Amino acid sequence: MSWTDEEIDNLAREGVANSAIEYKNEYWTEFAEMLPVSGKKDFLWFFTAFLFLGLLGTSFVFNGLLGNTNVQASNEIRIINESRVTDKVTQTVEKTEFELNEADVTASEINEVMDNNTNATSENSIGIKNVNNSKLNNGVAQRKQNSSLKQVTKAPLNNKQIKPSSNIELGDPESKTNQIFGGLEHDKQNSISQSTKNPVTENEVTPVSELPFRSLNEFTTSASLMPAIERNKQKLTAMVTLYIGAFGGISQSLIMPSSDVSNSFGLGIGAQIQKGRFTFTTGVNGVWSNHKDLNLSRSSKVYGFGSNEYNYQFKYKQIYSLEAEITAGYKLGRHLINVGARPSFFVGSKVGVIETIDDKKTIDRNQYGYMDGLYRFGIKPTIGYSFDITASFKIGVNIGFEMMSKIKEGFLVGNNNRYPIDGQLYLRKSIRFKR
Amino acid sequence: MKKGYLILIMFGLSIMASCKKDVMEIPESNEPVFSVSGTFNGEPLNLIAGNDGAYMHTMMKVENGVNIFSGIISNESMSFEVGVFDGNLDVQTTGVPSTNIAPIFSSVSIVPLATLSKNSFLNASVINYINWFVDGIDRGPNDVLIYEAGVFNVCAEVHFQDGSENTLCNDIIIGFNHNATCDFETVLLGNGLVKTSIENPTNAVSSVEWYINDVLTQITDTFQYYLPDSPQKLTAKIHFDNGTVKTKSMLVNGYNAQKNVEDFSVFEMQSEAFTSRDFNIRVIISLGNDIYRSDLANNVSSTVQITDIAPFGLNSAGKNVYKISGIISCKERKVGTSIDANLNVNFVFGIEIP
Repeated sequence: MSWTDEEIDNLAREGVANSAIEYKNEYWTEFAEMLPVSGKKDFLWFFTAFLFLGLLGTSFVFNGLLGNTNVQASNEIRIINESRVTDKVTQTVEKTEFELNEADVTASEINEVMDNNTNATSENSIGIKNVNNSKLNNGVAQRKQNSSLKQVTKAPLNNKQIKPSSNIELGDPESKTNQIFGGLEHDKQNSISQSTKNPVTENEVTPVSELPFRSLNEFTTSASLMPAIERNKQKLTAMVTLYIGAFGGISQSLIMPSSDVSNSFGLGIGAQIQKGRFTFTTGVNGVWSNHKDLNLSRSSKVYGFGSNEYNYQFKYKQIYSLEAEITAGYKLGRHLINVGARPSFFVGSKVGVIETIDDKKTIDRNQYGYMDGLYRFGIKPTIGYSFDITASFKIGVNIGFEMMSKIKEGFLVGNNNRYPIDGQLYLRKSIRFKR
Repeated sequence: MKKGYLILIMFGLSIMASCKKDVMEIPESNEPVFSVSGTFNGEPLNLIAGNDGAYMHTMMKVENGVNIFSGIISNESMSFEVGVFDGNLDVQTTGVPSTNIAPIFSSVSIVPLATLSKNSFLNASVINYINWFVDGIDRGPNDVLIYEAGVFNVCAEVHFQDGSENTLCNDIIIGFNHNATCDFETVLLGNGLVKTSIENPTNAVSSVEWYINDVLTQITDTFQYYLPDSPQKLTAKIHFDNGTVKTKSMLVNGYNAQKNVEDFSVFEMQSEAFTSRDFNIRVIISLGNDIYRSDLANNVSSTVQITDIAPFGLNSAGKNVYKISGIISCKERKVGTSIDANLNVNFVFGIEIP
């Protein structure tokens, strides 16, 4: 006898319809017990998230600072450009005045000549062109006020006599700008002071409706803000410090259950970049770690006519690694708090090896370089604090935890300690230089 | 400063690279190679070489002059033996079992495969009696019945009616296929001149070596030689084109044909009526003190399926071992009783094949 699908469906429907499920609170209790218990690992997740946000925020702050600095620098360059152009125009005009002995040039004609010259100079850069035009206007206007203009002849302007190549050459505007403005700091100061010394008279005030349209990029900083900018600029100069350091540390065991701790020592080099109160530290350490409980094992059974059981005991006594440090920090006087990460790579080891084949010991020795039981890469999110003992000596601590499993499953007797915490106490000698 | 970093990094890397690193190669675990699993007498039967003290022993047994390629998986409580009989015994090259051959179970015959008797000779009337020796064992003057297959060294101590006595020995193959056969015809041409020729060969003959009293005398298709008036041992070593080599000896008198004694091919022909044992298989199971054998039971309808034969490696004796996989379904009879037990197993076995 065989059941049809319809008959089976009907039986199921009847069974469900007639069934009475009694509700009991115990069901919920049992169900709740099946849910994962929220333990201390939540803290780790919060910490990781916090660290990520911290790093992200730090990077934004840095980017912001760099952006501001760029804007300020471009403004400064623009101001310098304007001053330089003004000076050059002034010089050109003066030179023109002396060259045009027989010519009588009106102020508007000179203005036109200057416009032509500056237009030619910055034909590929509209922004600079406009800025130069505006300053040229101011410069020419100032020249109008200058009594020396009265000595200018009224003869028509001869283009052949006005050679812009003597001061402003046609060609690449950027190279021209560099050629003209590159170099001395005091030129800029002079030009600024000259600008401030030549206030615009009422006759030369242009109505707002006639002002040329300027984009945001053409924003020019008021001369009154220059001292503050100068101070900010000095404050935000990136200071790069090279350091050498030594450290000692302790760490929880890489395996569990274990109550032992391992210790480590290391030497390293690195660099610390400071910009304002923010620092960025990067470096690499050679680490020597000593372990007491890192006893791994591996066994294999090889079948043939019979079988051989190979058992290996690996007692990792020392592990040699390279550990990088990448942190971002905030400096409060002589105190520095930083967060970051320490990627690491195991490069070698000293291992006590015991090999037994079918319960007969065949190898019992120390050997170097055996790394099969370990995963080589690791990364430790880190928070740290340091204190500047002197200008060149710094003492600090780093606390982190290893996020990567370090022991291969096939070698484990117990379990991987998933987040072993370690701490380092370091002393650094720095060598500062200003870039 | 960048140069300083590079120098430090290069220095560190060079130190790491120059450090002596010991190599520790850990063999990888693998799956069992040889095993038997199934049921025997209704009970589970599982033997895995390498587990529970079980080991795969491989050897080549020789029984009745025939190689039996054997393997035994055994532990302290039981053993399971599979043997494959050699085939092509009259071929000089070693016969390796092939999956193309469907082996059958060997069986111990209840009727004689051959009977050694003076009456099988044409000149029986002039023979008083023959004292038989089989594989060096004196079997007496009466007829000797051979039940088992194999290659036997048979010696006939012929006592003629006139009181003369001569002995002739030959290796005879009983119960196995002959890849080539032939007859001998001996003619006395007078004055002691004897002519012996090969007749009715089943395969082309490539060459024949003739020996008189174990001394190579001629290499011709037909032997022709002067012999004295006394029985002389004439041996022919015949090489057939198919690789078969037959060595036959006879006694020849140059003046009296009645004193001749033929080679023993007549006994070999007697066993041709029975199923040949080439590449037959046999299974022997030991459970404690009880021994079960497949060749004692009636396994006419039983089956053996060989699914794979492949070289495996060398055993501890340095001999080649082949891995044979297959399925056995047969009966096993307990030795000394008439109790049969059913055996159904899959097996992967190692057998030594030189």
